[in-house]
Amino acid sequence: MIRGASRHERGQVALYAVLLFPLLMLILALVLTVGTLEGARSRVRAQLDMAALTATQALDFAALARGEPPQLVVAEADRLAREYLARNLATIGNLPTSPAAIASSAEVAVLAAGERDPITGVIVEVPTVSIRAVVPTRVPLLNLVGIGPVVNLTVSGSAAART
Amino acid sequence: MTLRRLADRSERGLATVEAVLVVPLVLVPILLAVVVFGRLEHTRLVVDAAAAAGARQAAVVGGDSASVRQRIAAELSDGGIDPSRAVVIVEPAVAGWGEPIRVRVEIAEQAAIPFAGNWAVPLSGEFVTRSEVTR
Repeated sequence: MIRGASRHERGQVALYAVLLFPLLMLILALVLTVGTLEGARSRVRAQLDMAALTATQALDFAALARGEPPQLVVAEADRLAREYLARNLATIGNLPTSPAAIASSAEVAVLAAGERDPITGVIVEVPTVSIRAVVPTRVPLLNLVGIGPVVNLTVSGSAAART
Repeated sequence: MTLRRLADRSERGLATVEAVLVVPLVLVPILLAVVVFGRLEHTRLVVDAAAAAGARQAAVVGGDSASVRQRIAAELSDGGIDPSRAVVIVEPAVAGWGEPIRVRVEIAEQAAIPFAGNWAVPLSGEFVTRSEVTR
């Protein structure tokens, strides 16, 4: 009986290891992929916030000088939001689409106090710039092995002008 | 004692020996790889946050200044990273109203996985902002 069991166990751990190894590698690949994509999302969100914040510099200074409440120059705020989104996206490198193309197709909302933000859904109390962009990102590990599928990350950012 | 009995006795504990070899050589490196990746990703997030905070400060003061570097150092320290390990680049040093300012934070990390290897992993965070200072 004991003899049989001992013979039966020959190489069992090695067999488990061989079977488990691909599964563990798959789990590792999944962890790396999800982690890297979430990292990319976090970075793009910070870039959108930065672009929105930069766009709030487009204050109507003439109106401010007349003593009117702060308001944004819509065309200038829109231009700044897209320009600085593109500048910040360009720091990523290896994007499948050009930063300028992503920025030009982004949804930019320049809002006056009391308007509803179509991106965040809230009624803003002060002039606000919100941006929503679809950023194509290469799936990191699969890109390494040459498959290179692209995931579209939809991210939004918002900033308010306070004086 | 027959030869067969001798052979059986020699196989006793074989599973244990295999486990002793397989666990440290295969399982532990894979688990440690997950931990090492998590640590690298954490560092990257902290470096990103430091660069973003530095860029905001650079926009407020209109370029490079001690306050920009202090802001970045504080963010890195809060994230558990020694600020002296980081390289900070702020360009241009002096920017007038509306000029873009680039702030970059770089850090050289090491990814060490036992039985697998040791790699240098350069991490960086970079943001472009616009000067708010009229000169």
